[in-house]
This record gives sequence, C-alpha cells and structure tokens, in this order.
Amino acid sequence: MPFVLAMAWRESRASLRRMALLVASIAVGVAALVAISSFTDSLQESVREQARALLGADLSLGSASPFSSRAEDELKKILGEARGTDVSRLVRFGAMAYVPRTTGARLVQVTAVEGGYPFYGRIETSPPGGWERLGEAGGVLVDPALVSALDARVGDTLALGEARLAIRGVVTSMPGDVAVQSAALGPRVFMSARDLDATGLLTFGSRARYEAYLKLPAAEDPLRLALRHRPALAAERVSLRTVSEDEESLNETLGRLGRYLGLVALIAVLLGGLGVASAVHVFIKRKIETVAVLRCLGATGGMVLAVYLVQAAALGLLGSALGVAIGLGVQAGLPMVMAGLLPVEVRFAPSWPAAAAGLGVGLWVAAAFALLPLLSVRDVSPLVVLRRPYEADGRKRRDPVRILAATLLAASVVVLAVLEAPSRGSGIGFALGIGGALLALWAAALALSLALRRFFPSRWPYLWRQGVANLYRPANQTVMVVLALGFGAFLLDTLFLVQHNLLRDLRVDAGADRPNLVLFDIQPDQRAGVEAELRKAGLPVREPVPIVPMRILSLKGQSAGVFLAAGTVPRRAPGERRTPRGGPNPWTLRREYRSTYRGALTSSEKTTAGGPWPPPGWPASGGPAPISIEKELAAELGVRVGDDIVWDVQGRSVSSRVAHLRDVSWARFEPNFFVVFPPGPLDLAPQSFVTLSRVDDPQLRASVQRRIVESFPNVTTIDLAQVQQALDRIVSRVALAIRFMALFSLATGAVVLVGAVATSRYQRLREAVLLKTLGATRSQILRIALAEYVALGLLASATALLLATGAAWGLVRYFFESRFSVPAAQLSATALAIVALTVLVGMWTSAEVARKPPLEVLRAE
Amino acid sequence: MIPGPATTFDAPEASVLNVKEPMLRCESLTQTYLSGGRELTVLKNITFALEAGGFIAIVGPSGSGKSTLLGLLAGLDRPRAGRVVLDGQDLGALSEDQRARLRAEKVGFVFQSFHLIPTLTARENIQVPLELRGEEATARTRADELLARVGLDGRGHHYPAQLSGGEQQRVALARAFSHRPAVLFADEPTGNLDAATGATVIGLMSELNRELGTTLVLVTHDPDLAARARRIIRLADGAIVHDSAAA
Repeated sequence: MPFVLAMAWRESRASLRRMALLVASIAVGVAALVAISSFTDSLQESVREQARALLGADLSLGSASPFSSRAEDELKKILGEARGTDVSRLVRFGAMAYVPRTTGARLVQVTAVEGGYPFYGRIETSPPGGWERLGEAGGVLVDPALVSALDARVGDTLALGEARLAIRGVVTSMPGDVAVQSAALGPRVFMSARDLDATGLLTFGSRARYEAYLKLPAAEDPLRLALRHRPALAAERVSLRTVSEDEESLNETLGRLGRYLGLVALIAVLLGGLGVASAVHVFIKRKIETVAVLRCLGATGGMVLAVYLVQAAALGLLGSALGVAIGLGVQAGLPMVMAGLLPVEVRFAPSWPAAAAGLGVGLWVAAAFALLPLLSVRDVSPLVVLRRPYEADGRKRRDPVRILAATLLAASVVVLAVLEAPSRGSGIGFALGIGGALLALWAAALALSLALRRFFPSRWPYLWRQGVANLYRPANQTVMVVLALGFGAFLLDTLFLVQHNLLRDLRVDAGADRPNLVLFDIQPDQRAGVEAELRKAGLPVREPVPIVPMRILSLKGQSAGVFLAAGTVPRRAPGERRTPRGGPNPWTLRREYRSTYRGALTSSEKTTAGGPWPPPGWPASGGPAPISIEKELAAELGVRVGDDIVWDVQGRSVSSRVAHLRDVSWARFEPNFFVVFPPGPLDLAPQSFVTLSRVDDPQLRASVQRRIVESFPNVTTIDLAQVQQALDRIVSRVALAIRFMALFSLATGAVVLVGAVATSRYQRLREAVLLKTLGATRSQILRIALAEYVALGLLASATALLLATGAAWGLVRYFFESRFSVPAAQLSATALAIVALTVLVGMWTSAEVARKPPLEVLRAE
Repeated sequence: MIPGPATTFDAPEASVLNVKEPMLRCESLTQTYLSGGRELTVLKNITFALEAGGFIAIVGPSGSGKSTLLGLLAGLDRPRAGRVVLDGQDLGALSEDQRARLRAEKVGFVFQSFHLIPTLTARENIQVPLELRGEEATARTRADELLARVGLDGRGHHYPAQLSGGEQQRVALARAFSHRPAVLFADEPTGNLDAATGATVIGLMSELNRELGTTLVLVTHDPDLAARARRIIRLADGAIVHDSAAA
C-alpha cells in the first residue's frame, strides 16, 4: 500500500496539468449540486425562522363568503376555549382604483383590515408608522407599484368604489411578499374595514375572501385547536391554517422545487463523470509505457490499477473541493436569481451537510467513472517495454471485474438519481432515461461506423474520404466521442425542449381578433349603460355573458358538508388528490362556482360525453335541469353523465343532472365556465354580467377603463395586455432560474466536449505527422480534420436531437401533462451550434499539429 | 564500492551455488504469435541452462527471436510450449501476479530505450523496485548510494527528460541493481548510446555484476559487447544455431 500511495503522489505531481480536464469536469457538476442543495437548506431554514411572520398569526380562518352563523359560533367556541386570544379580521377582494387627479385607473387587490393584524412580523411603510394608523378611517396604504402605475403620490385621493380615501403612504416591506405575485394580480391597497361599506363594492357577485387571524395565548397549542375545530369549520366551507402546517407544506413545495433543480444539477454531475471517463481514457493511453515498466519491475496488475485509481480519486477530491467552494459562492448569488419568486427572505448560510454531500458525490462519481477506463491498465503487457508491438491476441475475455465495474457505475447513477429526485419513481425513470439514451447513442455510433465502411463514398475528394474514413478505421474513437458528445447534447436539447414547452403554456393566446379588455361584475341594471359607453368609444360590443354564483349543496344525494368534514383529517397536502373513500376532491366542494347559462357551445369548447348541447328533449322531458360540466372537473368531482348535483343558488336550491361533458381550451381568453346551465332555470336568479371587447390603441384602452370606473365604480375591467406583461415578468423570472442551472450543464458539456475530442487527438496527431512527412500541407491536414469533426458532430448532434425530442415528448406529455410542440428553428440552431462547437474544438487541437514541424511533434509525443 | 557486498554472498541465493541447480534454465521453449491472422513461430525448441553468477550473451540478427526469448526468460510472457525455471521456480506454474512478485524479488532489467518513468525523478526511479518489495525505509539512502556509484551524485532530483541518454541509462542501471537482483536482463543496453557512453555503461554493468554476483543475461547484436560475456548463444530464425558452452 505505501508503494501505491507514494507512486500515486509522484505521478499526479506531473499529470496535474494534463488532468485539469478531470478536475474541471467534477468541479462544475459539484458546484451546481452544492449551490442548489445548500440554497434549498438555507431556504428551508429561512422558512422555519419566518413561518410565523408569514401567516402573521398562530391560526387563521378563511372562506370565500362571509362566515355563516354556524362558522361564527365555532369561532366563538375557539375564543371561549383559548381565553385571551386576539382576533383580527380581513376582507380581500379585487376592485378598480382610480386617482381623479391623474385620471389613472387600475385593477388592485384590496385588503380591508380590522384589528391588530399582523400579530407577528412587521409591515414597514413610508412614511413610517403608517400601518399603525391604518385603523383610522379615511386613508389607505398602497404598493409602490400602484403609485407609479397611476402616476400618484402620497396625499392624493384614491377612489375605491364610491369611497374617496387618502393615500397615506406606501408599503415598503411585508412578510411573505412574493414580488411577482402582486405584479400578476395587481398592486395591493390596504384600508380600514370601517371604510368598507362606504365603497359599496361588496355587492352581489363580487369575489371576496373573508379571513380571521388569531393570536393565541402562549400556553395554547394551535394544532390541537385546529384538529378539534377543523371538521365543523370545513362543513361551513371555512378553511383553517396553522403556522406549523403552513411551514410544512411550504417546505415541502420548496423542497420539491429544490429537488427538481437538483436533478438539473445531477445532469451536470453525470456529464462531469463522462468528462472524467474520457480524460482518464486519454491519460491511460499515454501511460502504457510507464505501466509496462512497472509491470516489468514486478508491480502486479492490481497495484498498478490502485496507483491510478488513487490518482483519479485524489483529483476527483480536488475537483469536488473546488466545486464546493464555487457552489457556495454561487449560492450567495442565487437569491438574486430567484428574487421575486420566494416568499421568504433568504439569508446566505453555507450548508455544511450539502457541502459534505457534494464532496462525497464528486469523489464517488470520479472514482466510479474512472474505474472502467482504468481497468485496461491490467491488460498492459510488460512485453511492451521490449518494443515488440505484436497484434493483441484476438480473444475477448468476458472479464468479470469489468462487468462488476460497469454494474457499479450503473448502480451509482441509479442511487444518485433516486437520492436527488423528488420521488423514487422519477429517480429510477431518470436513470433509465439516461441508460436508454446512452444505449441509443452507442448503437448510432456503431451503425455509423458500419454504414460508412459498407457504403463508403469512394467518389468524394481525397481529403474528405481521408477524414471520413478516420471514423471507421481500426482503433477509431467514434463510439467514445459520439457517446460523450451526444450525451451532453441530448441533455441540453431535452432541457431546452421541456423548458420551451412549459413556458409556452404560460403565454395567453392573444391573436389579432381576440378580445383584450374584460369587464366584470356588471349588474343587470348597468348592462345598457356599459354597452352604451363601449359603443360611444367605437368599440365592438359582444353579447354580455351572465354569471350566477352558486355552491354545491349535495352530490349524488350526499351532503357536501359531510364530505368536507370527513375530508379534513388528515389535512390535504399540496397537490394531493386523496379524498376519503374515493369521494370528490375537497376544493371542488369548497369553491364558489360562477356558472352561466346558454344554448350553444363556444368555439373553445368540444363535447366529450353526452349528446348535443343543450339536450333537445328538455324541458319537455321534465326532471332536474340538465347541466354541462368541464371534463376534468367532472373527474375531480367523481361524477358521470346521469349523476345528480343540487346547487345552492343564493339560498335557493336548484336540482340538476349531469347531461354533457366538455373539453375547454382554457388558454383561449374567453369567458370559460366549469358548469353551464341551459337557458331557463337560472334566468331569474341573481346574476351579474361579463363582457369582452377589443381595443388596439393602449391610450384608448386606458380612457375606456377610466370612463367605466367613473360611471360604474363597481365594474372591474381587466386589461389583457397588462396581464400578459405581468405573466411575462413571472415567466422570465422562472426561466432565468432554470437557465441559470442549465448553464452548469452547458459548462460541463463544453468541458466534456474538449475531453471527448482530445480522446481522438492523440491518435490523429501521429497520423497527421505522418501525412506531413509524406508531403501533406497544413491546409490539407486541417481539411481532413474538418471532414472528420463535421461528420462526428453531425452524427452526435442529430442522434441527440432525435433522442431529446422523444424524451422531452414523454416528459411533457406524461409527467407535466401538457401539450408538446417542437420549436424547429430554435432547436435546429441549438443542434448546429453543437456541431460548430465540435468542429471548433477539434480544429483548435488540430491546428497545433498543423502548425508545428513534424519532427517537433514526434519528439513532444 | 557499494557497502555490503560481502553480505550478498551470505544471501539465500548464494546458497544456490552449493547445489548444482542452475539459476536459469529453459527447456524446449517454443513461442508463436498471431500476425495478420496467421500463426508465426518466433522461437523453436530452445533449451539451455545458466549457472548462478554466469554471464551470457544472446546474439543474432533482427527478428531472430532474441527479445522474445528474453521476455520469456524474465516471465514477461508465457511460452506456447516448454518451460522456464528461474532460481528453482517454474514460471509456468505461476500466475501473472506471482511472476510479477518473483520479478520484484529476483529480477533486474536494463532496456535499450532506458524506460525510466518520465514522471518520476532519477532517485524515485531507483527507489521503485525497493518500494515494490516494501523496503520504503531504506529506499532513499540506497538510491543515493547507487546514484553516487553510477557517478550521478547530486542529480537525484532531475527528471529523465533533464538527463542525457548516457545518464538515463546509468540511472536505469542503478534501478536494475537497487534491490540486488539474482538475475539481470539487459536488452541492447547500448543500442541508443554512442560508442564512448556505451562503453562506460557496459563497464559499470560488469563491475556491478562482479560485486553483487548477479547472473547476467545480455541480448545484443553488437559483437564487441557480446565478446565480454563468458558464454554466447547465437539465434537465427528462432532457433539456437551456436552455443559457445557446447562448442
């Protein structure tokens, strides 16, 4: 053993420069891994610290309608049990804000506050002390975004419905602030609950959320209270949140996000492993003589293997340490990349477990990937020293050690994937995908060699023939280079395609003839006035669509409250679709449905079950009203055609029977509905209207909005252009975070590419020198190399492209459950860029050969 | 002078002198290789024995099988037929790794192209055989002694690339003798050196041979060099055509 260590140390002294590629491959991958896992750790730590401030209370109750008397009774019970509890009530709703001085109007999110909210965490305002004065009627605090959007300033009057309130200041910081959220939903306005009635906004049909925040005495356990009172509150459609449950689910969500990004980092690590393998492969080729001498002097095969394995591991450790340092550095920068996406303020704190894990993973990957190419040192015959290059005898042994090493490598990839992936299934799928891709690339490379030999283009010019022939001649590196290069390209292409498809879903379809202005909450007596206002501006007016708010009273004969109360223990985790005894998903019963009635389908709807809409026989056939349900909602509700649903429409129960299921294209901006009634049963029900229009000129759009808000303060207008802008801002934030992680893969990919091309360089060097000795010119040698690298790059890139398209299709279609499309132009550009990069790196290494006189190169080798 | 040559004769291999078992013996050695898919016989039925402390030169034209024979005698390869016995050990009975250990114990090498390990310094190259035997403790002092002995005092920290051909071969000699091998195999040791340097190297080699009582097997096609051996075996087309001991 001392010999092995001494020898490994002395050898690596000289080879450090040559092995820089190995160190770099490992370093980049580990950096990505450490950055993301250390950041996730910091994030969860921050959530733990700030969880209470995020909720602002120990316990919160929330409902989409004012608390029912039974819900109020339940709240009183809680207050009776936990004496000394402070309560604060909030009402949140969307409304139009209008500044008369500047005539600016904008959709805002209003929060009306009563009591001491927030009990934890601080809301900072400018000028300071504004939050404490919020209870005094007559004034509001607003987001800085509103001030700039409406060109307003502190002291201005803000019209909110019928009320005129003074802007007292802006909110500069608030716990749980997610910047992109307020950008998407509109800036926030905080007011006193005392002014609520004066606004006249909480009229019929408007959407509002009613909340109660509780600060419990220190001795009281919020979870115990939550468990006891949740069923009764749930039956009244009041949800209950606690700090620890919020923290848990937030941590789960953030953890999952972290692990997805971790998978992206793992790709960089595995690419780095390939880099190690190709670096070691080249390294060993240069070491054959040294190995033979050591064998001659009496070193056993195992000892020599150990010498180089120790070297590879030590270099891997060095790379990992470098990677950990870089990763922690990058982590410090991640909060900037993620800014606006996170609900907590993340402090930079290096996570030592993450660093240690990175070090371990890097070391392990370096050793596992180095082992396979290193095993060939055992086959070096000591006879090499006698300079007798006999043909290796043709017997190919089924070497058990080699099989073991390959198995170890495969197992390492699976274990790493499972550890890093959000779930065991996706980890195994990830590893299988990698294995399949490698197999396909290997087959493609082999097929190319065979096809070239069989159908060799013998009529091509000499230089091209020479270059292309390099791909199948004895001891060629085609398979190795295509594997390394193609795998890198495959991962990058897949990442690109998936990202493209996910981001595309966030784009609103805003074709030239699509409406871009939506007017909500039009009361029946305002219909004519709103239409007149639009006509005056010369805008197209569509038939207003009625909206009738309703809730599910019972489903297939079972009361919704029973389902809801039963579905509360245990609390539903985010994304989980578990319901007791296969019943409906709780949100489907809790929500308020805003349904419509009409006698036809719209262009964005398709029938998937049941007859034509509306059913021709009704109402002559009698019975409950036939309804049409969106097909995914039907699945969540667990209903089929023929099932009965009883609705609570403003206190009156309306029976219905599912008669029709629809597929709805939600991306089209149309008034789309989960539930559609036929004309008739709801004609006289309390309702509001929505209408759409299109205004191309932004100035005109703003002035129409202003006129509507002046005449009809309760009517909400949404400017789609603004919504799209806000969405774009979120999308670019998310894309930035993903691209940032993909950058690591790209960096490792480049390192691996250099390594892969270097694999064949050693051999090409000798050939080129020989050709030069025989009289080939520099440009001829460069053109031969060009032909070879163009062919290699094309094969690797094209195979990778096909594979990536398949893999991305599978991921998008089945994992993300979304539509798949191929951005042909961008993808081709990516593929060509990879070919260009291959040629560039190949030519760069060949240029050296072409430049130097033959003798010098021979000596240097 | 190398300290301790007296003890060399007390070493176990010295006892071999007393029994009549030769240091190196080969019987009916035959070797074939594949070339272009066809089997090529490079050695045919070679038989001879060499006593401990002997000095034999194997000569013959290029392609006569000299190096192949050397490789087989040193256990670098397995013969197609026949056997080699080195210091009483039948090499055919040993695995590849066992043969490597035997070489580490008893065999030294000098090559035509020196074959110093380029990443190791001169001193470290000399230490390798000692370290392979697990004698790390004394390796460094022993290497320094040998460096002085071959006239390269103070050059121990130089890498092979920083040494001339003659100097490299002297380091290789020091390496070959560092662990006091029972047998030294030399493959054209002066082939890459000019005449004067070659003479110095050969002089050193025979001195060390005498001091340590090493059995010496020299492969060469240089008649002058071969003339210094006590016995000459001449090969042609893979067979012995002349053995001075038999003559």
